[in-house]
Amino acid sequence: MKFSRFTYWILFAAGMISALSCKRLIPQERENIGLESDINQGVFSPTLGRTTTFIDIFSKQSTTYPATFKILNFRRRSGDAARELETVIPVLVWKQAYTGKETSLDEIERKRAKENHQLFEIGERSGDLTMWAEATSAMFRSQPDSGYLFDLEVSNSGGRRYFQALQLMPMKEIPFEPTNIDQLTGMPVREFVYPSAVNMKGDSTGRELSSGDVRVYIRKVDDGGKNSNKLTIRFLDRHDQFINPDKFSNTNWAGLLHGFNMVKNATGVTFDVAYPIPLAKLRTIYTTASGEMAALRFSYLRTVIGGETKENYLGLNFRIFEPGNWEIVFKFVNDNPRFTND
Amino acid sequence: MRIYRSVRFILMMLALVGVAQVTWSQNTITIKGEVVDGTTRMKLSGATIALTKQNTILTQTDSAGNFTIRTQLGTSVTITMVGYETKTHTITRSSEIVIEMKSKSTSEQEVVVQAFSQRKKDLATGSTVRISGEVVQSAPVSNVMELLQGRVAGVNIQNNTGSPGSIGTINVRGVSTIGMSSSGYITPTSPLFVIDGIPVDINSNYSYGTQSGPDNINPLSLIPPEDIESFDFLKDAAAISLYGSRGAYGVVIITTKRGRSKVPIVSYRVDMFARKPPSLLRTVGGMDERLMRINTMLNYDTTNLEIIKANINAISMLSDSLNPYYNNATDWQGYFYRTTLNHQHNLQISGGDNTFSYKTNIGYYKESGIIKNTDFERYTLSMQAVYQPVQEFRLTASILGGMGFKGNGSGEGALQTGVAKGANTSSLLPPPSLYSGNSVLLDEDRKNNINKANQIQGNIKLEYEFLKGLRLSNAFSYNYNTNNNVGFTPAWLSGNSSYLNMLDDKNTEAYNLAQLQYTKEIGDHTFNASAFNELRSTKFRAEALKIGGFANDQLQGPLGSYWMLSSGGTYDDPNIAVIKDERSVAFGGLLSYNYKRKYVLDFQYRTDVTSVNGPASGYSHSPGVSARWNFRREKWMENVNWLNEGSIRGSWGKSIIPVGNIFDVYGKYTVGGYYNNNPTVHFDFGSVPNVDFVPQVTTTTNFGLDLSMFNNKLNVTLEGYYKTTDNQVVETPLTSSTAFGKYKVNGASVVNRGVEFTVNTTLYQRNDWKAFLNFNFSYDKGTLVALPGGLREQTQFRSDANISVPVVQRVGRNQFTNLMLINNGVYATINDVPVNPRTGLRLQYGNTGNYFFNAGDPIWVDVNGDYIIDDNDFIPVGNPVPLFISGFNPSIQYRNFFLDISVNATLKRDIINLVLANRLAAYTNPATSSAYQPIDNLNYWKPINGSLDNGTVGAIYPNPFDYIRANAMGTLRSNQTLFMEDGSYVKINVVSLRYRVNRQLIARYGMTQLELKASINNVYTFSKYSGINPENVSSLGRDVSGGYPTARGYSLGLSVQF
Repeated sequence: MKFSRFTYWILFAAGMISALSCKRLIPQERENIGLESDINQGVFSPTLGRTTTFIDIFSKQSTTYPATFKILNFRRRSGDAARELETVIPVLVWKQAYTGKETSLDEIERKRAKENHQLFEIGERSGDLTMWAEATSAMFRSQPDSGYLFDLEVSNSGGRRYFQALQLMPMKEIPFEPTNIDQLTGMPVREFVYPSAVNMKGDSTGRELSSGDVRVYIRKVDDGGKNSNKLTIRFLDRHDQFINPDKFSNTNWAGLLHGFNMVKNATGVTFDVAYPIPLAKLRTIYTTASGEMAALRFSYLRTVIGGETKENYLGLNFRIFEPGNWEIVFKFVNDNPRFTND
Repeated sequence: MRIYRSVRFILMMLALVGVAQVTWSQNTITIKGEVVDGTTRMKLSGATIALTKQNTILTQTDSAGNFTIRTQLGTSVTITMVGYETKTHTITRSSEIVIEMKSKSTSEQEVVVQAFSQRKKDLATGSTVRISGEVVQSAPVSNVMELLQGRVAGVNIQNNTGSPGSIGTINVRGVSTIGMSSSGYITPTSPLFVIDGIPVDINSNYSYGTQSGPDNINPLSLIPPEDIESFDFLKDAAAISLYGSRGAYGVVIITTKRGRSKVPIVSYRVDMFARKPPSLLRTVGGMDERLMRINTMLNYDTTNLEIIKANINAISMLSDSLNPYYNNATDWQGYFYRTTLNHQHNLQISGGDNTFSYKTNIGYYKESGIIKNTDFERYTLSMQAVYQPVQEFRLTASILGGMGFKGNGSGEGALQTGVAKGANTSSLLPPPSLYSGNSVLLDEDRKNNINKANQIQGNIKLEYEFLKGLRLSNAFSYNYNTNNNVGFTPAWLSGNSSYLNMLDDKNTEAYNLAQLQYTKEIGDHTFNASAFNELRSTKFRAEALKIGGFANDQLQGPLGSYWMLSSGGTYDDPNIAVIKDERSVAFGGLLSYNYKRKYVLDFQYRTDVTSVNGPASGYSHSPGVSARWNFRREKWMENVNWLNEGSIRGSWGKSIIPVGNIFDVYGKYTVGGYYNNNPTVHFDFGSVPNVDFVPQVTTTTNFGLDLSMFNNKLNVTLEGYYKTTDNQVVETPLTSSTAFGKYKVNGASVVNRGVEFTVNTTLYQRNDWKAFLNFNFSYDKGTLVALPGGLREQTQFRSDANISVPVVQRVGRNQFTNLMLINNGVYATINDVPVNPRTGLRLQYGNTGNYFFNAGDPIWVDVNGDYIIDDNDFIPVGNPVPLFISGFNPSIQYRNFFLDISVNATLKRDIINLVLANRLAAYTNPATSSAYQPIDNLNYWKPINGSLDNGTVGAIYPNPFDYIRANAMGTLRSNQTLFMEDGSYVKINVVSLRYRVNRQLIARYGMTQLELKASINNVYTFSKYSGINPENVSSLGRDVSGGYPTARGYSLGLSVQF
């Protein structure tokens, strides 16, 4: 009996010691939503018809990741709910990386697939806002309309914060760039755009041609929706006669454009292409240094006065977002280029 | 047991008090005899022989255990000795008698230190452990703390530098600070050392993480281990709260040996010892290295091939292979590291009786560093005298003097960054010479860089019991330290301008403790009250002088030879020490009560004010209460025979430690620019003065259970504690609109919780054999519980992420957490890299669009899922502070042979293998001349059939040869979990064997004792860690290649006593 009382005391002492490691005396480690964390950007004006991602919109500060981001309360300026922003439709997403080294249209298409997405969506962990290319001005209000408002919620186990009344003011589609379309009205302001680089001599005047001497018409040819992956390039002289593309004899046709099945004849050159062009913002042999635009370069060699062989060229940096049967026409307006030696 | 020896003298003297005049009658005879230990047959010196009836002391045994008394036949004498049971012997014959004493090993009878005074352990309410000085005498080391590793539960000693004269880290009951330095060290929180009553604070003035000042000589390195009688580790508030205003990190009391024999004892010890560097790193050399570099550049540079070829041709080290300058296979490491042979000598003379005793210890120690030019040499002289003419009055005076010399090498002693760089030089370069590419080695050889440290510590203590039970004492100590450093660099090593650097510092501390004690016994009730006053004055100042541009390398003068290169003045590098003149005053008292030595209750109170307190913060108050219950002495425990002693104790109390300096409180003025051709003095806007600055406060709650079982063969102590360290300083940056840069505020708190378990046991004891074991195990977990201003976390030292590992401090987590990218292996093929569905591009590093992940790159977790690896993807991981430490110390004795083994373990700790990271990273710089260490034993990614898109499946390390991308993306960065490893280890610290030669053999040479010793220290480390030594890392757990490696030591020694 006495021994057992002693045992109790031992147990009591052991209990006292273990009570010291009692967790509730110490604050638990938890995640944090920083009071000084903020949104970097209040107005989002994505251009419709192309995939736009707004990254780093959340200034992290002392917020700890992983955190969850949510969009709440899509509404019009009037306060009415804007259900169209919650539309979920299949959008084209990349499953494998675009490298610029694909050898067929099929290979490119195999890298892409349709997936259901909300057209204006937020990255659950990143807070990045994405407007998918499938969103059109027919579905959403676009500027000059005042657009939409939405709230953003950031939460983790450390709490949650709301950033309210962020503005979404989409811009109308611009299917191609350089463009002749006014973004507010969606209407063309002139019929043509100018090339990026012109280094040629006028055939009759003998003067150096400038970009003002060449008009570029980028247009969708209505073929009844038969082709959605064609691009044709044509050259017209000042008499509206076709210039044979073979005149641009020094052109690297294989590296001109990431297209396939080139058909070249006297009236132009046609490729099977995957849209948008370029497919990704990646520097390849077909693009500008930034990878943002596809770069066309048509060149030929000519012996000039003094016997020097000179490269003459015509260049266009462009991009096209909408699939279709597109045509790029270079039209010389004031003088034709000289293809012969001096 | 050996540890009684320190108190034996004191008790003996008390017992001797009141010796009556001995009278004898006519038939008195002279009797000779000896007193021996009943089991070991060892002669016992200092045993007291008294007449049983009259209770008068006749004599005591001499150093050889012999005694001579004159008494009558038939009288009975009582022999007493501390640590042995009292024995009564009746004199029946006049021939030589041998008295065998039976050892008594009740742990409750041991003496411990608590709050300025010694107490019997059964009355101690605090947590205190005493360790015998013999532990540190087993092997020759430059620093006594090195051998205390794993000896005391809750005391974590990491010998993380092998630099002679420096000290590793010592933490009592965990790391309780949040401070750290950018070089990868936690702000040291070493305990306060009190050496014979003189406080030595090794934290202040030695603010380098490795706790070595500019001179690299730690004050503790100037104590000869042979002179140490005992260590007392004071761990909880009850033990330390009265112990100085700087005891919050724990207190270690070092007591030196005293004279205790009437016959003077002269003992001499000599040790010869060797230091052997750890095995060196393998290096790729000669043609292999050259081809490896060239191929790397050819295969992985994606720019034009002709440009690459031009680049290779431009690096003559690679292209000019026939040039003898570049056609070498130099063993650089061999030039820096070496095995050394060293020696030490110690001579001690002591003697005395109860009225006067004295001791002198003279020591010399020389250890040549395993890195050249880092030798350490120590001369010490210590003296002590105790004078007690009457029982009521006692005077103790001691003086400790030490002088140390230390070579700096090319670094700061403990951190040999220069050597690390030098030894890491490409083997293609020629051996060191005037024309060599590596001047570090020449620095080693030719730089004249000497450090000298002088240390004198004096202490006088007066005790006077002017009324029965009322004792007044005053102890005054003065600690004077000077260090100087003179370094001369010849012109041909430093851009044609020689220069001379001189640094002198002086550090003094005066300390006075006045105490009034009153003891009263009323029946079974014992009361003890004391009041004290403590005064302290500390001064520090360093002066530096730099002269340059001498006429030639043979001259080091005249002063001001070239003013453009000369400067001097008070040294104010805040990383080393700030000029200071600090005072502190404290008052306090202790009230202690016990009933029948069964119930003990203590109350303590202390109030402090220091000159570094803010004027608005006033006195700080440190109360404490503690109790002990010796439950074995209760009546109802009488029948529990297996238990010899048992007690429960508990304590709660506060103690403080001053933080910051006077500039934090009052701000400072600084010298500014010129105005009207006159220099200006203006306020320093770097930091806002904080008048509310208060000291750091530590509150400790401690519970303990002490059990002594099975005839005292098994002694167990279990302790648990909860320690809060509040008011830690945090620097908060201020917005530029305030004009000031930052604000230092007391606001962070850390909680340490832990459990300590100690077992002391006699495993075996029969005939000539004896085996003892000390085992201890402790757990400590530190948690950051508050940051100022309600902050939840802060990040420190987020410098270039490719080089350093930032530290995040988050509330609720351990104080120091690495901020890292999580590594999940290596992408085997390019198709394994995740693709951003929106852009069709692979995961990229940064948002530049230039660096997409590829096969052979590390798989880093994209925490926020934005397909970009950047600062947002860093996650807090790891804990550099060990959770468990343990010690296992068996000792075996057979006749005259003594074998002592010391094993210690550090478990659950994350360390970062920066050495491995650097080794791989060397391959990313094929054009520079750093050494290539072979990586063929590492599983790194290799391309298959030359395709860079497809390679090794399951590789651990990214491709180091893809050097352009590796540099840009930091694929081999140290702040990824790839290089974080478990730093647990078990180390055999010391194995020592002693042999005591039989006395009969040596008596004819006049010796009383002769011992032969052999020992190995730093014997072997068991660890899964892939680096060299998991202990030799910084306190933040970084295995920096600049660290000074720990050497293995072999020693042979001899000690002789006359």
